[in-house]
Amino acid sequence: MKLSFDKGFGLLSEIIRISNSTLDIDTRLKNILYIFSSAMEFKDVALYVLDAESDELYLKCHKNGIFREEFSLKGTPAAALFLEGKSCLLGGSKEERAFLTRISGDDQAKKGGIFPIRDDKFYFGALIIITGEGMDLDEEDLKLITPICQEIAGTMRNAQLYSRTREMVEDLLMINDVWKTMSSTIKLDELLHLIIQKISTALKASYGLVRLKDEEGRKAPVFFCNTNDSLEKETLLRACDLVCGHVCSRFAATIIDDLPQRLDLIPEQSRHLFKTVMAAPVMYREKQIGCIILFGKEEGASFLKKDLQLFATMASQMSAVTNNALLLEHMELINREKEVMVRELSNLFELNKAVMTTIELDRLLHIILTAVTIGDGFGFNRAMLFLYNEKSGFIQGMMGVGPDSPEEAWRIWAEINEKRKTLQDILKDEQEILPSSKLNEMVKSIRVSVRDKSILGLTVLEKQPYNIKDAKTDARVHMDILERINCRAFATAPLMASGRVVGVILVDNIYNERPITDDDIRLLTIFANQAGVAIDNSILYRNMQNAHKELKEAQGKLLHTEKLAALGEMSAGVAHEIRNPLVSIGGFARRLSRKLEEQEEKKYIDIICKEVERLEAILNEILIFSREEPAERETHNINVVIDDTLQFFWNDFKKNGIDVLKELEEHMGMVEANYHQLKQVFINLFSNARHAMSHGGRLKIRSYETDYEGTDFIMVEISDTGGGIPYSVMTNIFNPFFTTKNEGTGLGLAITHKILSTYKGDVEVMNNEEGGATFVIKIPVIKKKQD
Amino acid sequence: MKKIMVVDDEENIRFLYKEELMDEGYDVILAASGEEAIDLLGESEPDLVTLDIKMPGMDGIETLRKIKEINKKIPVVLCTAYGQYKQDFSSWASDAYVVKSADLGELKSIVKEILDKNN
Repeated sequence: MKLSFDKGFGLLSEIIRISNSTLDIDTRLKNILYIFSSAMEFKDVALYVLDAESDELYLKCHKNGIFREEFSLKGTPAAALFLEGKSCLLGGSKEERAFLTRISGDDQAKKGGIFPIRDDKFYFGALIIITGEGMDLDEEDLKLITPICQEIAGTMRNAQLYSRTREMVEDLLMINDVWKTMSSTIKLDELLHLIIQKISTALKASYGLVRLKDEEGRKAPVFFCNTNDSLEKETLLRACDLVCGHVCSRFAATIIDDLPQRLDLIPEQSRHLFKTVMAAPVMYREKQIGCIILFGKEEGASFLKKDLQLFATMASQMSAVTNNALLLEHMELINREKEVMVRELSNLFELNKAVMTTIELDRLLHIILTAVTIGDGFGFNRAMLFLYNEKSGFIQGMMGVGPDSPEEAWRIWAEINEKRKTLQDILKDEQEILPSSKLNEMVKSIRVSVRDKSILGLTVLEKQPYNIKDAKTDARVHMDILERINCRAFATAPLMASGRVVGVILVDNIYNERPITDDDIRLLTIFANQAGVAIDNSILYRNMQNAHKELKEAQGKLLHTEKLAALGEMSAGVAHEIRNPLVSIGGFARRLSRKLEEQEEKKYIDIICKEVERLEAILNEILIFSREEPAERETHNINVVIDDTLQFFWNDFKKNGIDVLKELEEHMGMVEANYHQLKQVFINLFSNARHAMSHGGRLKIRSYETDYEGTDFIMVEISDTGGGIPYSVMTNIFNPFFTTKNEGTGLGLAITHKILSTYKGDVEVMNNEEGGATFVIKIPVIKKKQD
Repeated sequence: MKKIMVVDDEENIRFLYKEELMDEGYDVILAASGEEAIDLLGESEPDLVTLDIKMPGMDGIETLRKIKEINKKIPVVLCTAYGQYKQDFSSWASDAYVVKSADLGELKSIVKEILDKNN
């Protein structure tokens, strides 16, 4: 049918309009076919699309009828012409009619044509026209059909370009999305999870996996699962190892299609997941540090070249961000290590400060052990401290700190956690309480010789720490120590002070069984060195204190001696003046006594003689003492001296209403002293008592033997019921010329003191609760009483 | 009869010694100072001298030296109020050393011992 020029032009312009519309490609093509077919009054039309690879034609759209879905042009009557790009009119031969019938599925299709859809470069497909009865296509028709075919080709090309562009934009958007994801976090683990999730989703993979290897091989693989298929991780990992090896050899993203043959271990039902695998290396400074792998495309499809390109791009991006994250992680790790070191050092500093500022030994040892046991310090469960005596060669347990039972341990730790006690708090608290635990008692009971070569001895001798991992089988741990400590693993460290070992510290983790690490030992050793110096200082300080005390005592004695020396000078002069009159009095009295018969007056004279004798004896003593001349010594029973002296006072006491109560221990040792001096001591004391009780009272004399710091002493207590001694006087009472009595020289107690100190004895005075004063004298026993 | 010279600055002591020694059967001459003792020594020729040490003027130790210069053979017994001079080696020149006491027993027995020995 011949269209007029106008109609033909109208059809063409309509087709161009549709071609340029915004409808989707299929609708546009369908509309074009419909208008075209209607205007030309064709029986039917169909548009086929050419598949470049297979050379097959696929049905795209048609007007009506039942066209074949696909066919090949090979061996058809139109093949030759078609391939030359020429239109081919059909129906002239039986063969051509059969072809038309076969394609269209219409028995009546007798005439028509096949027209190439192509531009100057590509075939897009073919248009097949079936004309009606008695209608032939002529040259005129072809003039119209050819431009329409070209228009259809243009439409298809545009559509193809459009779809390609869109795909590229989609890819770019996807890459952008992944990139954004990668920039969203810098934490490695988080990052890997996000990346594998995004990439797997973008490329429609069933499983995604990232595996990084670091020096320690500690990085756990990161999985992402896009499917319900529950594949065991082990299987996935083994597959991953194989793929990694494969990728490593190429250093490039790759698709692997033959994996299932190499993986017998993959369960039958999961094999489809490994049919197609895509893998790419993760690089760091031209070194492969890991692998990213995608398993199984969804819906059983295969990964395409296009997927691989996208995957490679993403993988290389991932390498970059992973590197950053790795660097950061590494830096954080270093940072953390530094922080730990700073904390350790600052704790060590605190501990050292506490240790160095404590000088009292018991408290110092306790602080050291506390430091070793608290969480912020070294966190050992128990700590024990031993001191080493270089002279005796013995190691002596001094103190132990730690809970006695697991229950106590948990309670204490919970308490510390709850109260959030800091190191300083605990150190401050612990200073107040010294330990009184079973552990402490146990430690104190340990005393071993350094020559035993047991673990404590070795620590001292070798000057090095020991980390005992299994005490039961370790020959260096002797049974007695093992039984007492009763812990499988423990460590020792020497306490050092200027190159010498002053002791040993022993620690264990008996309750939480945390293994003792080399780091623990290293820190403990540093601390033990500091602690050793502190202990050494403390011991020196204690010795110094003792020396100071002794010096002070010696100074006191010296002062006393000086006073007596001054007294001596004076008494020498005084004695001379007294001696001569005394000699005259006594001498003439004796003469008188001899000349008198037994009569009343002779008794009086005899008393004068006796008293002069006593005065002369006292004079002698004073003079001899002041000259430091040793008096002759004999051994005496002190009770006898007391009785002898008492006889002297008998009348006097009686006259003044003084009762005498004697409590003398019979079985006592002997003392070595000068009889007169001893007697003088009691004369002075009895005389004082007598003066204190001028209105009567009771004199109690008690003697007994006692042990004082390893020496036997005879003690004599002389108590009166007088007025006691005023507090203000107490300190002066043994000083020469000090007296509260109206009569007397004030030398009595000074001489008493002097005499007793000559014999390494002493005299003390105290006021009785019930009134009066008690003098206690003390003389060392020279000879034990034999009986 | 043996003659004893008693040298002492204290009159009562001289008196006591004289009484006591005369009771013992000795002839007694008295001197109140070292100087007087030296003066009397030549004419009285005592068999023994008791000598107080602490005296005003010439003390006993010096007197002892003078006596020994004059006659080495006259025995001298030093009498003192206290034992200070026991350590003084210049007193070693004396024949005996007695601490003064109301009990003259010691002095008398020493005097007797020395005189018996010289016989």
